[in-house]
Amino acid sequence: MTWYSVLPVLVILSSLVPGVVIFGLEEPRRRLRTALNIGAALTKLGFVMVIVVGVLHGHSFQTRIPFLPGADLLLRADSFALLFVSLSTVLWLVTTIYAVGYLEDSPQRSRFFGFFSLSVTSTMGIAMAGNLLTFFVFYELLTLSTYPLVVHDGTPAALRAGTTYLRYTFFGGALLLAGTAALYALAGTIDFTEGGVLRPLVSESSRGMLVAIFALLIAGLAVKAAIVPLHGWLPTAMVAPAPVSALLHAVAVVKAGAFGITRVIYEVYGIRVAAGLGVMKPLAVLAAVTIVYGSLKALAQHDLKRRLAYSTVSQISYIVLGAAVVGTVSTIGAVVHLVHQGLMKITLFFCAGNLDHELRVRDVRDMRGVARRMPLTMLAFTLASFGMIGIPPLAGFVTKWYLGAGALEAHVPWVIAVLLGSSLLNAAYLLPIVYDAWFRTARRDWPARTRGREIDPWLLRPTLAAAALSIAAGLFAGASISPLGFAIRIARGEFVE
Amino acid sequence: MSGIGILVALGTPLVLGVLLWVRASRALALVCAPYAAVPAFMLAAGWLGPAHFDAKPLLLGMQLGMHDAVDRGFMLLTSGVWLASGLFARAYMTNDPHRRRFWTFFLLTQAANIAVVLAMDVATFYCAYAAMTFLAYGLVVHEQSGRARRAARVYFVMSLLGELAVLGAMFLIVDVRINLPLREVPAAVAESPARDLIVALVLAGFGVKVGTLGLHVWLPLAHPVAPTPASAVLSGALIKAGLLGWLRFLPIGEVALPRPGLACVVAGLAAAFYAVANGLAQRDAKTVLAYSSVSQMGFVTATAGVALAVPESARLATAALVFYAVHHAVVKSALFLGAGLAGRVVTPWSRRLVLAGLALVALDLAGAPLSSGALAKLSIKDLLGAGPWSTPQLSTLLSVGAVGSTVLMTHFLALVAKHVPTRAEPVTFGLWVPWVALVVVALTLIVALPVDEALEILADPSHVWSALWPIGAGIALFAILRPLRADRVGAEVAPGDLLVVYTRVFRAIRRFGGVLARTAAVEGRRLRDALPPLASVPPIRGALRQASRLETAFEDFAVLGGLFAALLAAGLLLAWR
Repeated sequence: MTWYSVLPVLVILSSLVPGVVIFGLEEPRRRLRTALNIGAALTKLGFVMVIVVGVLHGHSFQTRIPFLPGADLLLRADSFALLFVSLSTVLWLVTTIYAVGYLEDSPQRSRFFGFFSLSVTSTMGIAMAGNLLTFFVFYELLTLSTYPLVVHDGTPAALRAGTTYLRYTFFGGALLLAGTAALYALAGTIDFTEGGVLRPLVSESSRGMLVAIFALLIAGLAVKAAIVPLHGWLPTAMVAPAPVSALLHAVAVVKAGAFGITRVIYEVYGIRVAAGLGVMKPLAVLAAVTIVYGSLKALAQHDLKRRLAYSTVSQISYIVLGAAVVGTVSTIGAVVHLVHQGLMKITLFFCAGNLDHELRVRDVRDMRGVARRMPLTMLAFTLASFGMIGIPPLAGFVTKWYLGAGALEAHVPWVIAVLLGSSLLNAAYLLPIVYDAWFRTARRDWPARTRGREIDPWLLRPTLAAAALSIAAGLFAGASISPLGFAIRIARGEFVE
Repeated sequence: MSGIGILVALGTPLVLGVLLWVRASRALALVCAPYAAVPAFMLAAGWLGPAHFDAKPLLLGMQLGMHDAVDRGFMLLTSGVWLASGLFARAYMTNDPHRRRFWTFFLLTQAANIAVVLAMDVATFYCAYAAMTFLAYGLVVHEQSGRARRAARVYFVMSLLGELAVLGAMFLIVDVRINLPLREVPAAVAESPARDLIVALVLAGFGVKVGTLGLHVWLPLAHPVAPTPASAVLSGALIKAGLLGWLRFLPIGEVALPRPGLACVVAGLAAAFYAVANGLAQRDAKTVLAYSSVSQMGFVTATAGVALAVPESARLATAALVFYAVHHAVVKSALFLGAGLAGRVVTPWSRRLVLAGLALVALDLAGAPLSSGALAKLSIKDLLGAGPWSTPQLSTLLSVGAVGSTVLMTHFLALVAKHVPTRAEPVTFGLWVPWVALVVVALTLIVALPVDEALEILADPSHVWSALWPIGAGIALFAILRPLRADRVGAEVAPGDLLVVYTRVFRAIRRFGGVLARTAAVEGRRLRDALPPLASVPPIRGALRQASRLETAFEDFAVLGGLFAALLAAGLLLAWR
């Protein structure tokens, strides 16, 4: 055992162990719980930074654990895994702090933070999974550990949403399992490999089978990635507390789906093989439909979190669309959006949480003049909204720039039309909120500030930190350690055959 | 290090804009804010050394710099106008309840505008340009009256459309290269397979800012509602950024594009006259000035068209455009600030003084002999004759245009003279200083030219005469037109003229969409009504009922499970076939 094989396991354990300990903590032990939570997040951040430095210096980190006969569990920290791991680790830290502030005085906090840690553990496993089986195991663990978070409030609506969530994700998991099993039956253990591994298997007779397996895998992953028509659970699940929604929408669940789709396309099938099978075009069309459909639905929602949820449906498919368009540039766009969407969406959900927590504002029509009462929150909201629309120099702009150039490279100009159209729709469902909040007068008096603050700093600081990160991601895109720098490394180094 | 000057020029307004919101530094930032453009002005004047700054980690590989005469000319006009307007705003906005918000938008828009001039790569230019456009919204909407909101909405929609066109053009230009230094752009455009589309998008996209005919409707709405210093920067600096966009992204001097060139010439000259006609029908002095800007930018558009069509004229045309831009920036901001000043002074003597200053500047704008306006007009006059359509009449149109400018300026002066404010401001000293300075700059701009023979050329009797007669004709024409009272007799045109048409078209489309939807609904109902005989056939009826039941019960465990199971089975079946 060397450091190189221990570190991936340590990354997983650094949230698993505190999670288990927290389950055993008594409810009133707030300080210890908070210390454990934040300490664990910082520890994990430390481990991840060590790995990042190591990978940048050319080392590789992997751990192989025997699991089933002929099918190992493999944890590996390649660049793509690291991108997702770093994103989750940083945002987990931010969200933990936020959640501590948000759930102050609410019941069942030990249960909440226990499952919270478990879902991060699962996400880490998904990120570092080195083959489909490992991926599947953690994918299912994620479903199980997020369910208690969705139903945390225990209201009938929350329970209903939880049931819907389970139905969708279990069946999605079943499809993924079927696809994985079929692929193992066909090709044995397949580790994720640069450029894909299925090329030798392609023949006239196996084409149909490969297409079918691809469809199964993608359908299974599409449930979590909320691709139309399998998106129904996401808007329902927004009844969960704000930190959960933030985690679900930015890091854990939907990202796991999009991340898996990218892995399957680039490191199982290989983009050329997949394109040769003729499955990329339908996927791209599906993604485009989802982008437009999600934006249109978002336009029709009055509940802020529901509007944001439909916006997620739309934004996640940018990743899928970029991955499905054949070409390095659009791949860079897809990979970088994995990070950018996370940063911007977590900011928006934090803001929605702040509004709800402080002012009980949930409906966008009640947001008139709210910026006067909560200027910093609305500043973060405004910046994140601008980022979503793709206004430079924010993160979303970099994504759209690369996706647009990628569409030109691949000679699919209709993708540009989709991008421009969805930018307009994004503007249509986000800007009226921003305008109302800053420029119109409030309908009612807001509750007075406590101690001169717009909101508890435990809630405000994570929000501002997330907003700052989403600005930095765009402003310093040219730096080699920016998300874009990483995405370029990944797309050039790992996905090209 | 040569990058320091650039960082200071760009950073000063940016940092001040942020410091306004930090409690400890608020008061200091408010005091410093008017002078934020000083470093940029020093940079333009060359007092901060040569300027180039590479910041690869920023954006997509940021390059900033100020290298040739175009960069320097635009930096001079940009920083000069912002500085004068800032100083004016210091006194003008003292009693404004939303002072801090105004200064925030003022400073941030200023920083973005400076960045537009300094940007040396496509991505940075686009970022700065878009930021400038959207931040200026805050300046337009500042008063928050119904008019201001409407103007801001029109500004926003027009700008968004322009922005999309610009973005499309940028995509096509950089293609998979992701980013390009600006100096390589004209050649890249010339060689691009999508050249014609790029040129069209660039012309239309930046045309919104420049106020090209048909895209100008936001100007007459936005200028009168914005606070006076903001109007001055809108007309003085911001619309010039659109012109800079043209100079940076059109393949000027690379290929001959006679057809887009001709389109520009026609649109430009048409705008020059169309705007005069519309301006004469206005009753608000600042609206008249906005129309005057549209008219002046018409000449600029026409010159850009010649440069597009005749590559050999590129150098001369670019120089002429830069000079025209500087001249118009100074003159127009002096006119706007003067109009604002006239709205605050009541004593007869001070009013006479303002009117005299305004009249001098207005003469300059109309191109009176020995003025910078005369030189600007003269320099584009020769060019207009150089097109492949070359007819001497085309340059005669310019003289007729000068008649139009004179009429419009006289109308403006008459409006300013007529509206005496009812309430005097206690102290107007802070308004006088920057305005007088600007007037002096406007009138002496001609002397500051590096070209020595400029005055000699202008003093040539034939040129004096050709500059003089349009002025006389214009004043005479105004005297004749005056009794007709274009602004009273049913000829009044709503500011934004064509906007009425656009709004109507938009409403018609919406109505048509509504009709379409209603028709579809009616047809759908009819179809449904026609179906019963078919739908009552037992198996079909059963199937229909099942389908609708399936839809409503999609969340039911059994149904959803069945669906997924079927999907799974189908997949496996397909795989093992």
